[in-house]
Amino acid sequence: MDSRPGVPKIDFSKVILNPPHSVYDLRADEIAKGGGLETAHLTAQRYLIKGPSGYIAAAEVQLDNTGAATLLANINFGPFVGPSGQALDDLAALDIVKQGSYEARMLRFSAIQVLAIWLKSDGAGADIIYPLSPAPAFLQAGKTYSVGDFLNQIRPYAQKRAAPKERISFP
Amino acid sequence: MSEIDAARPISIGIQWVESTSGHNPAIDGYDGSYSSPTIDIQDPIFGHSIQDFNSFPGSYNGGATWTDSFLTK
Repeated sequence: MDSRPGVPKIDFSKVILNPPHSVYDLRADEIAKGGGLETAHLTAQRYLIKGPSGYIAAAEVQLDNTGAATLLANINFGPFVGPSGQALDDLAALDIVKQGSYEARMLRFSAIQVLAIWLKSDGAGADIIYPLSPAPAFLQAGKTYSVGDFLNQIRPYAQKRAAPKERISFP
Repeated sequence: MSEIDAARPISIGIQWVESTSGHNPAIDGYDGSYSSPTIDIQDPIFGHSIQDFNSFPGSYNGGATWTDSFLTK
C-alpha cells in the first residue's frame, strides 16, 4: 500500500486498529418528509487506523441487509479521519458521557456533506450528535447537539436535496 | 484503464441514493492485482480513498449511482 501515490507510508508493525463503530447513513427523501434518526440505514462497520503520529486512515467494511460483513469496501485517507478519531477521544472525556452509557456510531449524510458522531444512549440518557470538521455552515463542528436540534438544522437542506416525488412528463 | 494509464484522471458524476444531490469525484488510479480490483478516488469532500471497484458506487459513502464520466486532456 505504501507504493501508491497519495497514500501515506504505513509501518504496519506500529499501527493500531481501533475497535469498529457502526456507520449509519441518512437519506434526503426520508429526512425531508419528517423522518428522524430511526430512518438511518446501517451500512458499514468503520475501523479507525492509528499510527504513532495520529489517525491515518479509516477502513469501511460493507454490511448486507442482515448486518453481516461482506467486503472491505473502502480505505479512506481524507479530512474526516483525524477529526473523527479526535472526536471520539474528546467525547469520551465529557462528564455526561462518563456518567452514562453510549454506543459510538458514525452518522453520515452524504447528500448534504455531513458527518457526525452519534452517541446512542444505552440507558436513560439522551442521544448526542457531534458534527465533525469540516462541517457545513449550518452546523458547528465540535458542538454537541440534541437529536431534535440536529434534525431541525439539517431538515431544510435535506428538503432541497430530496428527489422529486413525481417526475414531470412531456407528451 | 487506458485513460488512467496515460495519467489522465476521469471525472465522474454520481448521485447519492434517494436524493437529487450530485457529486463529482475523480478516479486517478486502479489496481487489478487483487481478486477484487480497486480504484483510487480523489474526492473534494471525502478526500482520497482506495475503493473496491465492483461495488462502486453502491458502497461509496452511503451509496450512489454513477451517472456521468468526463475524460480529461
